[in-house]
Amino acid sequence: MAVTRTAPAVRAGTIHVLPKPFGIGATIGGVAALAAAFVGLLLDRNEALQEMMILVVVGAGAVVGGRTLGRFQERPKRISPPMAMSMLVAGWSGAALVALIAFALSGEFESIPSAFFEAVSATTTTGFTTIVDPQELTHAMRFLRVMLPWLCGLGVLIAGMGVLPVAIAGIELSPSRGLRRSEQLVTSTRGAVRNIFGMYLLLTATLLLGFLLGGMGPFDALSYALSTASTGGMANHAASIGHFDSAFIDWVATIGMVAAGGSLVIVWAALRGAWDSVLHSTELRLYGCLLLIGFLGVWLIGDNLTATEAAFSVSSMLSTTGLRSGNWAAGGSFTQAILLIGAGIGAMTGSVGSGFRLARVVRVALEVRRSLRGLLYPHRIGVIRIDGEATPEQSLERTYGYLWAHLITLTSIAVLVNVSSLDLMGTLTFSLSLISNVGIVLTDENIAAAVVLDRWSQTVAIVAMVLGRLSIYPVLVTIAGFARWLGRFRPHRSIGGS
Amino acid sequence: MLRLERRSEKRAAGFTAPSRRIPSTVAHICGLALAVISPGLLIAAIVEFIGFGDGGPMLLLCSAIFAVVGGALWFSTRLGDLAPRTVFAAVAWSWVLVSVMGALPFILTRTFQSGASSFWIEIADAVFESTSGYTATGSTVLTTLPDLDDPNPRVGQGVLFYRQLTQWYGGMGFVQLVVTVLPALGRRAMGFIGAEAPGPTADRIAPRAKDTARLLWQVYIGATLLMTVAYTVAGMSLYDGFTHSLTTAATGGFSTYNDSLGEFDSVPIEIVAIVAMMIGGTNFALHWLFLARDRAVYAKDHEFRAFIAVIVAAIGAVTAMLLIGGEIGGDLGPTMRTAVFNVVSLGTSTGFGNAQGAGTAGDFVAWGAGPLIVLLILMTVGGMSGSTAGGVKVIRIRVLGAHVHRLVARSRQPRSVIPLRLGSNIVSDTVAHKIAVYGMAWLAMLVGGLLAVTALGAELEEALSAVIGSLSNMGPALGAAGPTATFQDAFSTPARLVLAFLMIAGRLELIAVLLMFAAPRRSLRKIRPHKHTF
Repeated sequence: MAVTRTAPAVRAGTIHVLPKPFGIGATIGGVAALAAAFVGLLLDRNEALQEMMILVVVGAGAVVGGRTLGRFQERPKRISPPMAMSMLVAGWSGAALVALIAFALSGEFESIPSAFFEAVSATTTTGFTTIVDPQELTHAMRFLRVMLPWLCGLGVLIAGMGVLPVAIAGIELSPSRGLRRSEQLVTSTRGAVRNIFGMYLLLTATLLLGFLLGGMGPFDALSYALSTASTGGMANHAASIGHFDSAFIDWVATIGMVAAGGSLVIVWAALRGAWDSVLHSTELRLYGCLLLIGFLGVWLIGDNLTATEAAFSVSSMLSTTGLRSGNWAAGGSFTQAILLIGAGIGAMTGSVGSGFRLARVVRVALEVRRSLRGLLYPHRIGVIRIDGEATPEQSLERTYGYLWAHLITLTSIAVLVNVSSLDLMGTLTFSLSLISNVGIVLTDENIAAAVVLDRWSQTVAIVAMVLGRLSIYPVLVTIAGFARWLGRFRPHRSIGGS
Repeated sequence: MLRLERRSEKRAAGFTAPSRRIPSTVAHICGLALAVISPGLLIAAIVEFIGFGDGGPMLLLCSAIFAVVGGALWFSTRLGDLAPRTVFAAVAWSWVLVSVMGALPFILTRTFQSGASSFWIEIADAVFESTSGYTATGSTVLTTLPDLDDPNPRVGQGVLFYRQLTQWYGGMGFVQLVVTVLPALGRRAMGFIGAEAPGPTADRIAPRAKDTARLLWQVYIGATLLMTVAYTVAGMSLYDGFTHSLTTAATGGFSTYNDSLGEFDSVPIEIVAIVAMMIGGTNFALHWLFLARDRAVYAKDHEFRAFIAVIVAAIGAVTAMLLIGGEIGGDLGPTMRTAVFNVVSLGTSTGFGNAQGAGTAGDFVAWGAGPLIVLLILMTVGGMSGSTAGGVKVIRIRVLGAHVHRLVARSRQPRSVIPLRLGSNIVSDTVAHKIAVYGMAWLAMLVGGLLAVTALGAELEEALSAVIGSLSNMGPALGAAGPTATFQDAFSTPARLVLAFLMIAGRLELIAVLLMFAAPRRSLRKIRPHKHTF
């Protein structure tokens, strides 16, 4: 069969469109650093003056540098899918680089690799940390750890729902046409940014109010609100939200995590009163079912967990947030299995959450059903309909491909990562947690977000978190394209040389 | 030609009095499947008599029961509908029936009798053991297996022989055996073989499907006899050599001893076992082609090359990890011996062990997380398609990998048409789609099985490894169900029955089991009176 060749992915044109997204990413990191410096100025005062100065310099430098980079680039006439994927990677790289510089220069981390791990964990909204007790950090540094995921989560939402669907028609997991058209969430890039930012801010503000009502101090309330809304899971305390030992706070966080793991498109539709579209969403119904079944399973069959802890744990894992309240590892193997499977499945499309995502689970389930029916009735032509829309075969094929890529990545991480303190299940949950950006590891009947890693495992974990956050393909496409671009500079062999 | 085939089918179906026989493909195949087990039980009874065991009469009775019940089902029915759904249902139900009925010899000889357990648990244990045997899985709940120098073994030699024989029947598949016996299935025979065959497609090495089945069984019998000779030369007794060759050729992993092959503590026996397991894990069609036509067939086959690459890579990784971790004392020789044996045993889904008790070198549950993850991957991947090994199969993994590669290439070049390639071969989209669906169904079964088994009280590590092991027809699990332990302590009785169901699902590559209720439901719908419109 003939192979039709088109232009290579990362050619000169693609490289030329990368500075602006890289600059935007750097600006995001810079804004986070400036915000952290401001918080430090208010709360740390003279105790960490040097650190604040570093944050101001890094933040200001990143904002100015980022904006300047964007000015050098002309607006591309057309954004192709590989171009968009590379832009996504470039954007994330900018934010991670600034975060790395800020963490490394702060001197709070024992080494540059540890600072890099923390930076990647924060910018990918994972929540793993090398800091055993975050209370030892300054307020500024703690705030930076939660602000980065919040801003990067916003970036993921805007890129995933705002920019890319406008730029590229028919990406794999775009919201259903009915929702897109009727609710006008994504009409233009500017409109999308405004709407998404508005909803994200509303969720965060609501959580802030809830946590304040629950008795948290303003700093902790703001930090946990940012952490919950972004599904980042970074905590200010070693025991995470469990530190407050308050059922009210747990329920506020539970509702916040459920909302953060839900699709913003659906929230938007609900806010506009389009309940018909909302209630007919297959993905939302599956999300609701999994939350309910998971909650009942953990609460009724699991051991030693109250209803509050069960609801908290299920929403934390399914939304891939990774906040902790109580120790669900002591809830027995069934609880562990349910929560780990939930973490593997992940949140809804169009949310900040990560994981395999529910929309893909719907597609996979419908495909299995169609194939079995096809075996029973060989002459039947089956079309997979989701929310009343026929799903294109090419899009389905991409979903299966993503499933295998996800599994291959997960398996590779499990083999490559080597943490001496973890047993088999610990290593497997760590790997799953990395690829799903959850940030919780199972250790000897306990759960933790703090891990002690050697250099090799840190490197593997960093790659895994990036692959998980950026849904694997963009990273692979960028690497492949970059390799081809580098290949252009290789000296050509002369065929008929002298 | 088609008319001739149909006529021969009709003639076969109506052998004596067509009008009196009930047209039921499912019952017909089930009957014949039971009947072909009967001679095996007769041999087991003879072995039991020779070994002066107590179970001889019961085994003889079982042989008669299998012959009578199987014969009655066979002669009272004829082949009816041969639509794919019926073929899948016939194959799946015959496996369920044989696995359940296969427990009868264990029940009647009271093999699982113990003071603590009730009779119902004894029956459940017998069904588990029988299912594990016929699906060539190798998981066991038999805690009374003898040692090599045991003067008074609790389980008779005939019963143990039958236990080994179950795996041999299941290894190549008794439906395939049935196909060689059925007078005229015609072009439908390949459907039966395909529904049972391990791998995405059934290999055809002769023009007629029936001849293909017969040739494969001939190779299988030949391999078993060859392994018997090799084991005997390596130091086993004839009985041990033959019984172990039955389960090695089938990549089943049952042993007649408590410590499996570790009981012998013999390097030559382990070398023979390693080679024999590799033969069992390789496509039997390749073996036939090697013997009959092409001496270079192994080197040419891309799946075989990939299979060898997986095994060699796993040996290297496990050896390196064990040397670094120092689990086996840090010496290269013993480490290499343990790594090679266990990697091949798990990579071919056999499940033999070479540990001489809990905590010794071959007891891999005591290893670190790294080697255990490699072993879990091997358990999942399994052997080659067309072999007696279980698992997802190397060819499927390769196709799935190629699928990902193609999608990444397509992401860079969205309008390109890129065929799915394996070496120089192009895999059709239909086959690739079938493989993708199989993978998704496998994952769904894994998740469902994990939830069910943990809900029934098993620990997470044991549950995960046992569910993977059962779906891959592997045998030992990890944790408390490792190579030196049984499934008795790690899993409750209901959990073991769930695992037994997964073993059948894994052996029939899921699809047949998922469709097994479709044909009976359709038949029932036909019987149900129609609603009158007026």
